[in-house]
Amino acid sequence: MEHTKHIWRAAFLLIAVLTFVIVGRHFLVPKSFGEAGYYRYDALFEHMDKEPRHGAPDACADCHDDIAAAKAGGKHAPVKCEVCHDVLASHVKDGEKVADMRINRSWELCAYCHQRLVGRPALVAQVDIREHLELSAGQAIPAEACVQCHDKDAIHHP
Amino acid sequence: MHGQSLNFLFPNDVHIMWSLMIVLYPYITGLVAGAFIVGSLYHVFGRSELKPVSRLAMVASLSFLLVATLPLLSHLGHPERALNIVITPHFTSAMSAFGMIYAAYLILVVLEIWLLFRSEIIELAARSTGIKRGLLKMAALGVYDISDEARRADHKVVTVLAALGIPAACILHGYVGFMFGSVKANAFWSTPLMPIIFLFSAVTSGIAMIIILYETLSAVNGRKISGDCLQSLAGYLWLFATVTVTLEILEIVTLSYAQDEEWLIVGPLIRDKIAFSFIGIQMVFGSLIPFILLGIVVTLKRYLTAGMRNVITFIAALILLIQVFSMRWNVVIGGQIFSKSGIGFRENYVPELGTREGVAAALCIFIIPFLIMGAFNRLLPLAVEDGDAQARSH
Repeated sequence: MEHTKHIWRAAFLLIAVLTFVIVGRHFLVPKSFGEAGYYRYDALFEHMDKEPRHGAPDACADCHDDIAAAKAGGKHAPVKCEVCHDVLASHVKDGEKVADMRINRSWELCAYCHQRLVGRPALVAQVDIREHLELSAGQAIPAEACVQCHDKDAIHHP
Repeated sequence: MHGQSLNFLFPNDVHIMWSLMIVLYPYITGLVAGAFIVGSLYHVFGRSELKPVSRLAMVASLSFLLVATLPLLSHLGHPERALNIVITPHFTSAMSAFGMIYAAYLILVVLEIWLLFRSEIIELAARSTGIKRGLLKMAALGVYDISDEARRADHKVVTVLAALGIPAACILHGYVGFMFGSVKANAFWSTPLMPIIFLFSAVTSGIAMIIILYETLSAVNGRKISGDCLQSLAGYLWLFATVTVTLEILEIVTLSYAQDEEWLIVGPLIRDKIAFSFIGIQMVFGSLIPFILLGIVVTLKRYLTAGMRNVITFIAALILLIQVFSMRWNVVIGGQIFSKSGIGFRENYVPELGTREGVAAALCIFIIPFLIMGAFNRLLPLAVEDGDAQARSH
């Protein structure tokens, strides 16, 4: 026992560290954690306090009923307007137009659904984008390649 | 009707999400566990011929352990959230269990290394001045007892810690295999054999790494390599590599022989998609060549000069390190390049060079443990005195 002083010191140090960790953890656990399940309950209310950014599925039809009618009969009918356009909140506030609607015209957006993939069901039209554009090796895909041929009417009512 | 089925994002398994970093992660934890097992062979099982690498193995284990989480953190989009699984751990999460296993193992290895180097810390403190002296004295916890009784007490505790460390090291790495083995949707991963394969290949990579570090350290220090030590390491490496490769082959043979539906996708995966890295690198180059080389070292030792033995063992160890890395690559990447539906394959994964999860970042992470070991060696020499080793081994 006489020559084990250092081992005892190490043991006490370890206990001190573990105590520090356990006590420290107590303060690090978020306040409402575990009140209604294994998550921070307050997170729900913080999200409820946020302004909605997206519109309801048929919110756009309130003003753009002609486009909505055209789109309803097309293959893009199940794709919400806000997938290619910006969110409703950036365009309309309290029923009034606040800014022009921004549109995502990038080829990447189209490729998200139309790039040929093994696991994608055949009911979605698919192409190999590079092959489709007949690009040579090293040639970059133009930023708005798809919409140069597929115009908005074709997209809304293909 | 199409509309109803289209209104969701699909397909959900087209991207290879687990990148080069997830290949590196089990590789590094494997080295942690493997190096520790080498150290334990001396400290617990009394393989006295391994004394020259006993300290090196422990410090190597700690050095790799310190960077083991870096590949994961580099892979995460929000690395700062990683601590959440430690602060609010849930036992249904294997990753949160990892936090505890990792912490417990880290404490154990640090304590063991502290006891192994305690005498040197005290002697160095006596020779040093200023802040360095103060820090070293603090590292000695203010006790400067290096009497024989104190050393005997150290030795006893080291043995207990090393004994506890064996299951800890095995769980640390077995859990990594468990992470893959428990993904039941993936036919290539989902086997209870996965943790065992990971564990054995971990020990293989650990022994191989210690051989390379030992030979390099001896060359740098101008010390003679202990013949008994290297011969013993070569023997263990041969044994563990053989068991590892046998298990790897058995897993595939079982899948192939049973001809279950998963073989319809796993078969073409191995034959076409990962043929080079699986059959070429992992099986032929990485397994067959070291098996022959180490077989020569183990069975024909009386015909080999010390120099030849050292070179052959070094080459075999290096190839086995590549083999284990290719095994991690084939499991992690190979398991992701086929669709879980079994419908077909994705494009092959080629890691980027300069991104957060690219080759350069992976190399940087992998170099850190060697820098830690180098710094440690400058302060407290990792090599064990030859004369002492001779005295103990006889």
